[in-house]
Amino acid sequence: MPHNAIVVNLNLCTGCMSCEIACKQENGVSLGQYWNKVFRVGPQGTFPDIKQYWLPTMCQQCENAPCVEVCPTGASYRDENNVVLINHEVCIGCKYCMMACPYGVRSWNTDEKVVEKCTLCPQLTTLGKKPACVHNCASQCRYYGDLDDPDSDASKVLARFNESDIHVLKDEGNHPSTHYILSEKIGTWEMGD
Amino acid sequence: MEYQWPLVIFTVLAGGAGWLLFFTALNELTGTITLTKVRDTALPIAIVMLIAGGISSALHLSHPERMMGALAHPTMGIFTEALFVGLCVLVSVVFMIMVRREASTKALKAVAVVTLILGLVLNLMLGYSYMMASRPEWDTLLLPLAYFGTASILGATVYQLIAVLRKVDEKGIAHTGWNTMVMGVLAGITAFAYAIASGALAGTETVHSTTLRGISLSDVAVGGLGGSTAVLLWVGVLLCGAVIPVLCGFLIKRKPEKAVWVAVIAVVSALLGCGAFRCFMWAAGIASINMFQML
Repeated sequence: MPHNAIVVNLNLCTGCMSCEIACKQENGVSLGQYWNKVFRVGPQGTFPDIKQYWLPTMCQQCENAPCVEVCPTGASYRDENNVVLINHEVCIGCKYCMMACPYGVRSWNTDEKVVEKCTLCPQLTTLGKKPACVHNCASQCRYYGDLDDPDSDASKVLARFNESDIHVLKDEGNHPSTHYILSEKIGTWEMGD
Repeated sequence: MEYQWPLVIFTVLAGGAGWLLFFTALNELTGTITLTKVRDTALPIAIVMLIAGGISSALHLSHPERMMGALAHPTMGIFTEALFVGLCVLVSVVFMIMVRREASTKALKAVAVVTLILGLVLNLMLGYSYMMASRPEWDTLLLPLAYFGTASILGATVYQLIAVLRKVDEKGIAHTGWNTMVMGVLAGITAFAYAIASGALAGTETVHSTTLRGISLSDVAVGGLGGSTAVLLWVGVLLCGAVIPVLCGFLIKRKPEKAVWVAVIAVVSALLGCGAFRCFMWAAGIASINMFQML
């Protein structure tokens, strides 16, 4: 089973938010709702030694996804490609998954009254294309692919960096699959490892 | 986090009903109080509380019409809560039918054992559902124990009020006063232990705070001795949910003949205390990282 995930090289991210806009356009995400959101971290340090970086956030495709574990109806599930998805037709809107998500990266669709989140754009990836955020990244800092396949874009970029430069969001035992590359010269990782 | 009123009401009513069933079943096994009077009233009241609680929890859902989907997907949490609420209603109905058909003492004791166990397990499950790593203040076994403890005083005081209103003998009423005192102490200890373990008494917690575009580590208030949840904890949970019911239990134990208003005050106070603890939990439940701020 593939282990598809997104890798973001924060050393290159300019915070242009084109990934956020591309996601909204591709998936019809309404105003005020997010599947992908870019945050500024910093400035860190004191003038003149200050650093700042940008942190794009979305569903981290956790290996032990708490949202899937707590969902009372199976609306949050893992598909045959190992991707955590939400079946709108089955979601009862209890928001239990939103409480259980360690990162708060699930969104509430106020029109349909169901929970939504990043899907890794299966409508594109099944056609051999990249997710919208990856394809439209202006600084080409986003990579998508199977982390277990050394020839995937995601694995190749991770292989180019030292372990000390590779980070994940604070792991509470859920093992997030999204990886962030951040070198100390650009910024200090503050999101837990 | 905002109070989730339907869930507060659900866990108060279902928890109280579970303990009401516990005391009814315990009395069936020990035979301390004139049985028929209290039991015949307590069982239907417990059923009403369970059903009202279940309806309240459904109000929390945006698509209650899809609720039956939970039956096809058993998980720890909402499914087990619903399962034990259903089992408690079922066993209460069976208990009532057996009483009406004058079942044998052995059969009644057997169903009482099942009722007693289900009442206790339901109470533990109600709090267990909220244990999750994403909310560090909730991720402690002391949370289900506090749910267990704070509901016990509601069950004890309702049972006490029924005994008083049904005019059981003074020995029986004094016994319910003793129950109330013990459960009040249990409620106070479990709630206070949770408040310490959750960090709510410490006052602040370091979390990732987000603004529209920025994210940074910062200290946020989660209660403390003089913080936003202090009134809930000290006045609501501990005074109303423990101290006042214990005093009422003491007064009823000493003067069972003048117990009606004291028993009413005890129920109202326990209801407030039980609800206050659940509100305290929601207020203290701050996500360590909440990127989209959607909840």
